[in-house]
Amino acid sequence: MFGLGDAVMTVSLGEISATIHEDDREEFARRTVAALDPSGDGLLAMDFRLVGPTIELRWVRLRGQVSFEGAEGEPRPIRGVLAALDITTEKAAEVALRVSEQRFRQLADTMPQLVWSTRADGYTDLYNEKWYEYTGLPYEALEGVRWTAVIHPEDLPGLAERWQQSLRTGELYEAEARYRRYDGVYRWCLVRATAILDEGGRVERWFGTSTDIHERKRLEVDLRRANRDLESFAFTASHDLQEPLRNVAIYGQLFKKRYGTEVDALALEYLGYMIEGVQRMSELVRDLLAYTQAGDLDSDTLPVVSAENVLEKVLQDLRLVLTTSRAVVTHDPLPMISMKEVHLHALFQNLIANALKYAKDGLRPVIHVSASLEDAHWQFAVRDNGIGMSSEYHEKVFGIFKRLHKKGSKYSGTGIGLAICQKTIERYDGRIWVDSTLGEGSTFYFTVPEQQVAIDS
Amino acid sequence: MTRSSVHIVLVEDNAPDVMMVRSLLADLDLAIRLDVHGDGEEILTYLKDLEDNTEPCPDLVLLDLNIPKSSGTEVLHWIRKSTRCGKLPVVLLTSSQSPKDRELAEQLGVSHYFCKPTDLDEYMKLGSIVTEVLSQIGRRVED
Repeated sequence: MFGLGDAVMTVSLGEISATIHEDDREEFARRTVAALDPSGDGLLAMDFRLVGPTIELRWVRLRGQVSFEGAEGEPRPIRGVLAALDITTEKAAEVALRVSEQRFRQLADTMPQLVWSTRADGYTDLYNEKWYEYTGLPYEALEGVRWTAVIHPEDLPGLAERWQQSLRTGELYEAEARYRRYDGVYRWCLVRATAILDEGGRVERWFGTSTDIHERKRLEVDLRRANRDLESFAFTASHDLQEPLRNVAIYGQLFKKRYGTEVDALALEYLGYMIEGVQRMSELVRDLLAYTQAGDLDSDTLPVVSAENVLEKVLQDLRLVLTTSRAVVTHDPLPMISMKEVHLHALFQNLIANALKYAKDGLRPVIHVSASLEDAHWQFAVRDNGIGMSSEYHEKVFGIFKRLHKKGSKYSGTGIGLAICQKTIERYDGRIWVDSTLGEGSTFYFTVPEQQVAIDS
Repeated sequence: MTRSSVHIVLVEDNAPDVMMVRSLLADLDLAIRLDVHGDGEEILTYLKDLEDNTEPCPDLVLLDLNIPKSSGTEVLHWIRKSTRCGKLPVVLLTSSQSPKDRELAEQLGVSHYFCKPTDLDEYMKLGSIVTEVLSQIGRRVED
């Protein structure tokens, strides 16, 4: 760009220096002197900032070569060839990249998960702080593929296979495996990683997280065991508990039949209490079993059923009672909903049977079923003209075995029906409640979310 | 070989229930030969022997679901798989009103699902159920 002589250079140096950013001036001066030194190689290379005529900063790359000449062992700089290149854009990109990396680091170190990143070939070159904290190991013990030492030996083969698969195809990587924590304890973690693609669509890098899910896993195991226990209890309750109860009830009645004439009225009364007692217990056991099994969702998919069809079936089942009580049951158009048929059946059956049972003396029961869409929920209503109940019982009535009438009164039953309804509805994330005034009938409401989310297995 | 009586097999371990069944079968106007097996092992041995010999199959099996050393459903499976007596009528006796048990029984094919009640008169109805099932297979023998 320019040829220089000594004097010219001095002037130029000063001029150049003035335009250089004050932070870079000292380094520039130092390097220039070094380049001019005949004992050196005369090379001048430096990136520095110019403060241009406008406020904006520019980066300049200077490359130069000073030639020395001189006789008698006293060479002197006689000529320099310099090239200056504006590298402002390049520098800006470099800075932006560095800032971006710093931000990523900050984010990675803040996240509660273990965060990691690999090259396209699967060589891990980045771990966040949590990795070191969690494993208690330094980078040198984890880099590349050394992280495999942290995985439980039983889980490693499966995990490695999935990882290799993802490396090959670029598809989402996901696996569960036990990681060894700093204290030697293995804990279940969920590993996920996605590929970052370059402009050509090729995998450039992988970013992943490993999340400690040990507590969740333990809860899953506990839940499964609790369900199994409940199933065996249910079997015991239905058979083994009923047998002795039935023995007493049946043989009490046989005794009465065969020896009834040989004992006095009081003895028969006592016998009656004994028989009723065990029969009652048998009913309670049966209903308690029904309660434990209420709302049982043993499959992942929820069928869609027609509430109208189910209501019709329930009315068919109850036709005998409906006829004898001369009851009138009407309904509005009812929707299709996402629920197991047996559950909706039990709901309608319990509510309508109750409406019939708690009818007013001498008044023909009139029952109406309706449904409306409220806030993404289907809200069903079963209204009756029966005896009603006062507000202090509106919540109690859903308790297990909670009854508002004495045993032996004309309103029989174990008081489990509404508890079963509540348990069932709660399994569907719905609500059930009653609106009622003593002497003026009751309306029972229950809600079912409009769209049920399928349960993941 | 002709027989003059109806052969009924009862699989039940609860003695009071066995007595009840004996008593209500005795009330029926039929000559009945009643065999009682008290657990799963006994009945399965009996059924396996039947497979190998030429004795006629029983006319009816009254099967309790809750028996020791096996289960009523396992016995039912076995009966239905049998080449000789696979179509044998079975009346299931149970304390369970669980819909799951009922479904399973329906799948395997039973003539009746009798839930043993705590009421004496209801229990006695087992007698008419037995008569009905036997008449369906044409076994009405006067003694």
